[in-house]
Amino acid sequence: MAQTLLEQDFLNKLERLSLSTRMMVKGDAGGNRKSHAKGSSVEFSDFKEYVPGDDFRHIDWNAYARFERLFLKLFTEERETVVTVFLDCSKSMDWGEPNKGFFAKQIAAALVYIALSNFDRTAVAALNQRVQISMPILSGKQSFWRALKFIDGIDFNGKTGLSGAIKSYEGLGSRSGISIILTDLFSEDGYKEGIKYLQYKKQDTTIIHIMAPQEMEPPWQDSVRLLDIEGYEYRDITIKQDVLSAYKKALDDFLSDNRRFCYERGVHYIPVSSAVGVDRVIFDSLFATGVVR
Amino acid sequence: MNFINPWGLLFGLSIPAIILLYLLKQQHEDVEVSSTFLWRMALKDVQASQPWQRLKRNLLLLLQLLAAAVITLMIARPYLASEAQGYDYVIILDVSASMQAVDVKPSRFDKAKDEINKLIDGLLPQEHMSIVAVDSKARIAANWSSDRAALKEALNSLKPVNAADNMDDAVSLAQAMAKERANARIYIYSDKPYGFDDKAYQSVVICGDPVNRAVTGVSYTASDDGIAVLSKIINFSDDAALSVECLADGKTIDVKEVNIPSGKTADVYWDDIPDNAGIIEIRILNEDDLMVDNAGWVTIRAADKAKVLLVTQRNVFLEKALSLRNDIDVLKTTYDEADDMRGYRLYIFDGYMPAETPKDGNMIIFNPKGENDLFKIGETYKPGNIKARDMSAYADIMQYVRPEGFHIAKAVHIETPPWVDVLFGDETNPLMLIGQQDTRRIAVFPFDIHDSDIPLKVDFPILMQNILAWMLPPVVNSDVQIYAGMDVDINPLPQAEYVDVIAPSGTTAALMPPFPIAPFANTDEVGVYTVEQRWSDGSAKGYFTVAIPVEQESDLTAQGKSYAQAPSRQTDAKPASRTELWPYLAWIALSIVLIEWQVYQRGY
Repeated sequence: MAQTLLEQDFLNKLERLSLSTRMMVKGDAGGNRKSHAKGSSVEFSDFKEYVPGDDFRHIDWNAYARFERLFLKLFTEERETVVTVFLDCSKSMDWGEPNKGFFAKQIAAALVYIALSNFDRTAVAALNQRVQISMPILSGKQSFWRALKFIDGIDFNGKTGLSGAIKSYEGLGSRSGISIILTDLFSEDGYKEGIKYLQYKKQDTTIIHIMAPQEMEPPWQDSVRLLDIEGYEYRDITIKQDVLSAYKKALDDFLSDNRRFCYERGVHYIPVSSAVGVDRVIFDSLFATGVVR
Repeated sequence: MNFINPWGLLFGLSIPAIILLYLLKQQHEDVEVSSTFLWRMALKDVQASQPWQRLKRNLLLLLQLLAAAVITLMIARPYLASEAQGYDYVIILDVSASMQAVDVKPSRFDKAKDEINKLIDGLLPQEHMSIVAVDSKARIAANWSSDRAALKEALNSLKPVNAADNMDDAVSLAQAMAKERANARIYIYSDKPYGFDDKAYQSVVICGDPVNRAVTGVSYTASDDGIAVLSKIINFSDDAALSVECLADGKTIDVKEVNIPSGKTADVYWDDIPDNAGIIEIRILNEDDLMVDNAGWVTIRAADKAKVLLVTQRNVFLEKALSLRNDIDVLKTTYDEADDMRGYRLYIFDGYMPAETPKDGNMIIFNPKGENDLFKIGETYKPGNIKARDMSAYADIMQYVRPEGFHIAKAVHIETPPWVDVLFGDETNPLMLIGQQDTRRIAVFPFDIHDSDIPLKVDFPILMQNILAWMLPPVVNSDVQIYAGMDVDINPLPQAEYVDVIAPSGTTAALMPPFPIAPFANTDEVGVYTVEQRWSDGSAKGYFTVAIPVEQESDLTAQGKSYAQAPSRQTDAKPASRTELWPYLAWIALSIVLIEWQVYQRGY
């Protein structure tokens, strides 16, 4: 790859971030995430009266001094969670100036770094019509370079079938987790069924919808033959102002339909242009929506 | 609006052709997109995929269609005219000598042709045109044609000649042609204005500010002192000092400066002409607008003397009459000695006739006697009152002769052969017969002139000279000036077998055979013509000169005739013009193309 995905400076900035989730995490391994299990951590959760059998190490002696009753301090046990990054690796992603695919890889790498830095277990899956290739679940910051190598090696080819590909992904398990989909949403079979499946799998889902500037403002005019890069079809049109207006309207309809669907399903929907920097996506778009904090 | 060239509207087919080309062209630039998904959605609203929709709002196409439409109109040549109906035109084009004048550039004739060409260009499909060229005769160069190419070809084949114009002839011919047509117009293109009171006639005058002088005549007298030449020079322009040159057989003899006031004629005399000079040419050296009339010629070289045989015992009157002619060589002989009768141009038999008349010359027979091969001679009688007989082809011979005063004591009857005319006689009998048998001219007087009072009358020498003139004609009658375009009667010698006429430029025309000889009509060149006659053992040359008809043609400011009772001055009138729109359309088309170019450059 001619360009390194992420600079070291940027990675340093990412260390302070973590992925947030609205759901409490269930899991076995101790991690950085609050879980419903109360346990040993530094984060105070509640008090309860001591009953015999409780761990007397947690008796709050200051409260006993004040109330002359024994109270136990309860702490939220922090658990690690699985962050799955779905990367759309269809041919349509390998397009645009700046390239959508490279941009998606940058975001994926950044998200993986954030997740691993927060002791979350992290998986990456490259999807086109099916799961093209997936990375086994990694944990620990030391695994980042392996993940980066994996992301860097993803090829963009094939058609897009987002729903089918997500359903065919077997790495989700039964526990809740975080799923982040990096895609242009130009999917043959749509994406909504895939989102419903993820929610069924108790995934806190975020769609980062990547668009090239050329998709938002088509730069062509007069007679052109539009060739679908994924090879579906071609279309001869003469681009005039009325056609451009119709295109803009179609784009707006598409975005608002996505936004409405995601709002209704409680999914984070973040449309971004590949022209903005990856830092702006992380620190502005994702931060604003609360996906990272 | 009317169209001169309605076929030009066929160019309108270019409009669908352009549209078709646009449809076929539709050169699509290949563009790879990530997905056509959104485009499909967009195009549901805009039906831009349909071909005619693509043509919509294509400014370039609109401009090209507009340009094609304007060019189509332009080719069809619309015009605005007050009268929508077409005319049929008779064009009379003066091709006479004065049209060669160059006071109008390039020349009057070329200018006239240009004007007619313009008229032909403006000819509508339903209009027809005839072209009548007029010099000494009027002739039809093009007859009711609407084919512009054919008309132009006919027009361009016309050349100005040296003859005078015979406009009467042309106008009557044009009128006869115009009668065939309902709505005919007669336009006269000439350098002279002609007046008409009918609006159907227009005189287009091609005339500038001409300068011209001309040699109007050259003549000579031969005397003991030598040859003297008289030339007449006329100046039609401002007072001028002219250099006039005299040439003898092509060699300069003298040059004189002559001052001639405007409009006057000057006589210029020349002597010191060599005795053996043949052709004298007088030339004005100063240039003017019509050069062809700046020269005149006279031929001095005498024809060979005609040999005449007179067979008589004694006839003082006849001998006296013959001696008046100094261009004949008379050999007198008696009846007894008259045996070898060959090689004479004229035989005069007085009181005698050979049984076999000579075949190589003409004959005058007085008082015929004996058997002969021409006619039978009868009894002697006393003629009554003598009267001239009218209605003869040879009436010229009786010019200035009054036979009523003649008295004849006795004459012989003659059985009149069919080839003779009787010029005078008494109530029943002929007394002077004249006729032509083959090439021989024969005159017969069936009486002895000593038996009459005719020799004592003043009519006798006149009659004799008339007869001799007819019997011994010059090859060409030099008493009359021959002008270019005139027919020339050539009188060949009786023995001549071949007659050629050699023009001044050297071109030879064979006139004889066939016999009888036709008048020589090809006299457009000015200068000295040679008539060459040849027979088995000899030849003879004669000359005649052809000049410009100075009186009609050299005055370049001359007025034409008025063909109207009350002449309307329509000089310099332009033929009814129509306003053609194509130049404006051409400008519009050019502007559209320029705009299109701009549009293309800016990439709308």
